[in-house]
Amino acid sequence: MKIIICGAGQVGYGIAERLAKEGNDVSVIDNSAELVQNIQDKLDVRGYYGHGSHPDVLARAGAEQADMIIAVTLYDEVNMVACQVAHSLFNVPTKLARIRAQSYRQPHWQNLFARQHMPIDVIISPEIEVGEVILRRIALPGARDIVPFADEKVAMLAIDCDEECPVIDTPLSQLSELFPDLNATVVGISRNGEMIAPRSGDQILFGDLAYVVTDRSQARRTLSIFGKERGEASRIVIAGGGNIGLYLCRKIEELMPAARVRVIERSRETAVRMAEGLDRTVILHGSALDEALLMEAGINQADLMVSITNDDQVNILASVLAKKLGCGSNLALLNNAGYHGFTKSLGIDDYINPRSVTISRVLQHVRRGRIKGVYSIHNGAAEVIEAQALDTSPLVGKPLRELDLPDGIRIGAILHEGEFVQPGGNTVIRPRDSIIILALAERVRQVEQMFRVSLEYF
Amino acid sequence: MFALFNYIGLVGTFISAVLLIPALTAFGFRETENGFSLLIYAALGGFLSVNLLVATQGRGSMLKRGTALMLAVFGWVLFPVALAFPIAGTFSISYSDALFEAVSALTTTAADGLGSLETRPASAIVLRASLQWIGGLLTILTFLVLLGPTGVGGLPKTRRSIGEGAGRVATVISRMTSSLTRYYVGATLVCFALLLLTGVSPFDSLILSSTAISSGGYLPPDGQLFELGTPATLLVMAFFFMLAATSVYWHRMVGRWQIDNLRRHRESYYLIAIMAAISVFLLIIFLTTPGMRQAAGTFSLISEAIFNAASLVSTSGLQSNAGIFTLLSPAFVFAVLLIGGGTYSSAGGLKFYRVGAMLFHARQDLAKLVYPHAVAPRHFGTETYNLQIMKAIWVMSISSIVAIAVGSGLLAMLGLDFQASITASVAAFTNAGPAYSPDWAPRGTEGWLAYHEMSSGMKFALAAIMLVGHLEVVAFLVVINPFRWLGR
Repeated sequence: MKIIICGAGQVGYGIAERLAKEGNDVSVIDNSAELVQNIQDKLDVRGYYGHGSHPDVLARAGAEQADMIIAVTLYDEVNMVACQVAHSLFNVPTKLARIRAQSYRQPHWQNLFARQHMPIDVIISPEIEVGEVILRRIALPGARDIVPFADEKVAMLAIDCDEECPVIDTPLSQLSELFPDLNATVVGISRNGEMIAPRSGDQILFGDLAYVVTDRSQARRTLSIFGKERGEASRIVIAGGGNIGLYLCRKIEELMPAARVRVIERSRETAVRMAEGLDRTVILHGSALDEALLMEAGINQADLMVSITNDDQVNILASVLAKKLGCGSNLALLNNAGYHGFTKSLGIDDYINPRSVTISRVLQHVRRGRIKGVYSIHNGAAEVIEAQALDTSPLVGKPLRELDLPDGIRIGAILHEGEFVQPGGNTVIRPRDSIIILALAERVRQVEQMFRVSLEYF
Repeated sequence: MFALFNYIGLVGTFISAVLLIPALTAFGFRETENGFSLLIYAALGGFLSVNLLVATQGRGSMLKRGTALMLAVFGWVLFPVALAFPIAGTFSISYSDALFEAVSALTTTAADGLGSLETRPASAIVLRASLQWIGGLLTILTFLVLLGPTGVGGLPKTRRSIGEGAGRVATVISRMTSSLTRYYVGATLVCFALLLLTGVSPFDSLILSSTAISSGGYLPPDGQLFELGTPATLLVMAFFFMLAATSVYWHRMVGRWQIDNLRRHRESYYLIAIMAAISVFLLIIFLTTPGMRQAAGTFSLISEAIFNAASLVSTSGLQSNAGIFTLLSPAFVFAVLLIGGGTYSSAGGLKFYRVGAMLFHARQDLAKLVYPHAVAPRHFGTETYNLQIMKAIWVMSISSIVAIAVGSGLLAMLGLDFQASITASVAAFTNAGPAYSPDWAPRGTEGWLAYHEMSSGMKFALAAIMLVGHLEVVAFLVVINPFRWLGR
């Protein structure tokens, strides 16, 4: 697949890294010579110095043969024009753009991105994606990560298996015997920094991070079986009132009427903008590292502290300070992947990597075949994929035990006519069933093949 | 100064034209003498006004903030003084009583200083109702083109700003007057037609439609409102009171279906909600008052409750039945009247916008006690409240209370019962004349005089309070400020 990426910043680099690893022909354009040099040195991609929306630069990057353009520069307008140029001059079939300004995304202006105007197939707003991830974690506080699939009917939960987890050392096959009516499957385990797709005889060990695919309506029960039974956070303190903070607060006001949210924002201008846009949220002006201000925000009685400023160090320190002052749990936004390794030792319960969130979203549209959703986990070591089985798929028509799925692939859930089906040895996948499947990075191509649209289909 | 005369000429021409309605009524009712005298007044007023209008049309000068306020005050003093002459002539009353009637009618206060109307000429009653109708229109126009742009009393600013050339101002005033008059006349005709359909006689419909559209309070001479038509009559009146109490800008938003603006607008919705809440409250009182349920059907009581609530909020002060408001606590009635209707409407009072701003501000200051570092929003709906506007609103509110207090003191000194003085002062200030009535008097109390029993001194005092209240007291304070004149 020939892919052009406009923007070699953190997001552009991350996408290029993943796509290049998978053997795609990747060209990256950026108007920073330094970034272009850096990406060329480190990855197997072609770099082009120039403005991502200029036709001559796109032509040099091979836009005429490109299957897809991914415009993720810092500037919405550059991303939009790059997609427009790619469409109008080079007829690139698939166009993705990162658009941060919410004005462009207002429902009453949605016609802007219609085929006859500015034909962008997928618009990605990192702030909204990150906001949604945080909202899901607020709703299910025991989970490290929550990813919805199949129109929210299925959820993938990442659960820390600590000393409170009662199913440690229990073989996975026994879990279904112990909880026969529980619709949940452990599809992946992160153990000592390595990702594995477990077999039914494997056990969960202390310190594992288990990835469990479950019926959304049983998510709370699943968490409680793993010893993570906690109520929905209702007293929330948010450090940082940028675009993510504003989106988050709006959604909390809309979806959680009982929640009490306090926001601490350093910039007075941003704080005023937030106050203008919100009804029930209290906006405090000052530093999230100011102990007195945190107490004014009621941190000692808060259920959750969400640190989402632009500064990773502030997020780490604010989260640690909040915990020290009595806050129930914390969640920090960490852009720098270097910090991810020692969050636990610092006392940070959970973190969000915006780059990985955005990359997951982009990859969803890069995958071929009948793939509806993709979520990249453990820094790209595996993907949880939602796909639709076609008549021609090798998965269809045989009981699962006869499929002989290779190691590194595990089926988590099947949706037959919209109903959750717990996969077992005798389960048979039917055409048009939706399947939620985990594939280690090296098995992703095989999964793509399983769901590809072959000629026989027509 | 040319703008001032131009505006006076324009309004004078319009008033002179409206005088033709009572003149024609006079001929219709064979009150020939009144008919000719009204025609002469109309011709004289028309001649002077048209001359003034033509002489000042297109003359260049700036309409400054001070001039705009002076224009508002001067206009509202000049027209009652001039219109007291035809009133004195048609009603055959003294000039001082006629002046009270003129101020009362033009400010839509509708404090009836004449007593029994049965013996009065029909043309005189129509004249008074016509002045009340013009008063409603002039009130909105004064706020739209003069007081609004100056932001007096923290009024939400209109798009047009003071400081344009007189020619341009005259054009803007003419255009606004023209479109507003068309709307106002159209709404009056609809109200008139609907009242006819509910079984009210044409003459009574004429008087009642002028009352409803201007949030005035005059009744036809035939008796109490509930006797004039059906419960549907009260509902029609209530709807037009609601219309009169809400901002014409909101009406325009609805007419043009400006969804975005409608969504952000607040004042009119709060006003309607309060109206609904008072309706429910009144209905509960009606249903629990011995004898009321038996005397009238439930639909009749519902329509009465809605009508009286709308009348209160729109500061009409009219009651469906004498003494209805006395079922409520006087403090509640006068608090509602003092809050008044919406901005850019013909209703009186402090206005919902200002009360809302004060509550909004108070809430933010209270929140500051709990969260000293809290950042407060500056907007509420479509309005922006900054410190300057809040100061203006607080000054306006305090000045209003002081004006009511001074008015009460003055009336008490002139011999009115003290409680009656406060009641009359609030009713006059909020332009809700009928809300003051001896029905409020505690048993055995003397000195609660009806308007027609009051002395000339009391009537002058009340007329002054009506004008001060009608013109946002601050406008008066600015114009009579000695530093303004000494500093020239």
